[in-house]
Amino acid sequence: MQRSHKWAAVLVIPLLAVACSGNPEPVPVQAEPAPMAPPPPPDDSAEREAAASRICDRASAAIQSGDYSTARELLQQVLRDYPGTTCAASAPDQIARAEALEALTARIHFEFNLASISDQAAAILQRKAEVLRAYGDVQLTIEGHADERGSLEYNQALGMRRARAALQYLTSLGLDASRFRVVTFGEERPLARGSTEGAWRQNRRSEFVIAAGEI
Amino acid sequence: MHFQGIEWSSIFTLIQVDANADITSEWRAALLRMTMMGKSRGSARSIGAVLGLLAVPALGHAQESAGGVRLGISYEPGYVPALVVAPVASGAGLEAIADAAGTILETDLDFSDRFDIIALPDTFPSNGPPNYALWNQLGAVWLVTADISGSATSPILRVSLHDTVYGQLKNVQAFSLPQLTADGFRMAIHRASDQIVSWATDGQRGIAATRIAFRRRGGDGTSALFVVDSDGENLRRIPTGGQSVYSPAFSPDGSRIAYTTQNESGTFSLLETNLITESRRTISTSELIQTPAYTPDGRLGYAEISGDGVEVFLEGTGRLTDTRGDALNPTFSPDGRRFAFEADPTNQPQVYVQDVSGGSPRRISVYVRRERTNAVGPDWSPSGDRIAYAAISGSGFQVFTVNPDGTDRRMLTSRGESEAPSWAPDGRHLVFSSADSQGHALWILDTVTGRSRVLTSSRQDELPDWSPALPTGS
Repeated sequence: MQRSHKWAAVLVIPLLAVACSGNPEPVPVQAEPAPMAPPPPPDDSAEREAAASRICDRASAAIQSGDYSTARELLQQVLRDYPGTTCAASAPDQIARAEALEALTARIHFEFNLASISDQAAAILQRKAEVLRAYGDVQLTIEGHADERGSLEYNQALGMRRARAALQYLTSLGLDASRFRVVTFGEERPLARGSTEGAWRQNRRSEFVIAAGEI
Repeated sequence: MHFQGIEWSSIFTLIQVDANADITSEWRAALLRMTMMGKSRGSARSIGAVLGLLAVPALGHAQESAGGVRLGISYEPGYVPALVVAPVASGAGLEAIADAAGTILETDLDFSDRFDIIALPDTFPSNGPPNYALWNQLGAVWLVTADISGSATSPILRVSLHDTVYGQLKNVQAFSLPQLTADGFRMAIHRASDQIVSWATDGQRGIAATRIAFRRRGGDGTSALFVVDSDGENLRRIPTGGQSVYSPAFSPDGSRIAYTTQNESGTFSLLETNLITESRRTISTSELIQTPAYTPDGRLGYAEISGDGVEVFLEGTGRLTDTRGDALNPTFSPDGRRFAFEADPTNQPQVYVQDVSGGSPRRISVYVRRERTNAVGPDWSPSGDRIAYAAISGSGFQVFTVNPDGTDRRMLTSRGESEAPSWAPDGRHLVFSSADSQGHALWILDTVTGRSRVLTSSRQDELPDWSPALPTGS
């Protein structure tokens, strides 16, 4: 309890943390693709600056909502279409930031009743580890989740096993265990509704929530 | 309460006049006709109740499979004596109490599933000494008479059980009741009902004066702890302080409930609420602590994260299990020497039995490699002879019972998905949650007759635990 209070005090991306941890509704995997901004006006530099700034605002909002691919696309558009603007100057850093956040919060998935790390999950965790090494003050909450099959109580334990499997993999890559906290939500916070293999596959997962640190 | 198809008013007049006279041949015929109608109504009702949840009786005792599971529904209904509750007599001003008491007594004795209840019309006369021959002609083996005396603020219920076959009073007892509107009124009548069951069955335990605790999901991802009387009345919420609540378990004396909660940040707590004083205490807080269960001497067993997985612990003793997978859901034998639990060393949870003092666990559920045969949530019967659990059969969980040594496995449900069975203190009734497309409801099943009924119908209820016989003052 004490530790989570301390973490709450140093939260720097509160919106992101709330979106990923508190809400029982499934978090959208992908937002609607953002329509591209209108082509640059010919020569008016004040107007160019304003248009680029609007795109930068949209990119920031996309980062806040966890839609990193849209943020990247918008920022790359600014680099291409609005060179020389303030927004374009900050775009490379913002793209790196979006990529770091995307890597940190990327989910991993599991087979039915299992908590073993697949090759695909291992690649995701390795990328996470790189970002964690670059941002030394970042701390993560690792959530374990199960699909609806199996009993409620069994799924609580299974979710914990999945969270701990991710933790164990990350510490085996040399990261300090004190940077992570594990929780299980069992079958109670599904990402996808429905009783289909497709929904179950999405729901058997570990999620990663940034609990502390600045990106 | 009326027999269908009977011209009741004419018979009623006759009985009113002749209640204590010899049975004359002309209305003996009328009573026999009535008795037959009553009987067929009773059986129709029982069969209907079973059909509501379970497979058709035609399944009967089905074949043994290779794994030793007796597939299909198997019950052993025996002789069920007919019982009639005569209208409860009362002094002036106590009629409402008498009516309420009569209704509760009759429902309780029906829900005991030990009697075939003969219903009487509401207007049946309640005066005069019992005419055993008349009741015997009606088909009743047992007759319950009762009266209310005293005052509205401190009424006294006197109940008598009569054996109509031998024409004698079996037993009689008086019970002080709280006033009709008081919280404890129904529970006081339930105690009288359980006394009647005990008299009629040479000391068997009734289930009327018991409660069931369970978890109810809210629409917003939260869940709460509720307690309801075994007849479905008197539903109340127990404050827990947690965002979600899981796995309630009654203490052996019925005065306390242990359960776990999870807060917004995901941390689990093991708590205990005293139902009499309504005080609450936190026993432990952890990344994962779950599935509490009391030993017969009142110590708490539970599962908690330990190393890489969850293991079973016992207050005052320490860790009881050492499995390669998660071990949870302990349930203790009535002598306190053994416990059953679920564990999944094969990535398929199965039910095991182990000595509390140590030794290796013995599997009592059926494991089939590469099939989903998950067996979870064991509950050891208070009579000691059976363990109930839920296991996947076909598409979903169904309720099974088995001897503690793994023999004589029986499947008790077959439709929908039924899980989390918990034994009543009589060792023959089970409460469990049963799911359909609209959610989970709680059902009660008599494992002897196969009769079942819905306890709660909110469609949000699960993880029930049946209390022991409750102490006075509950």
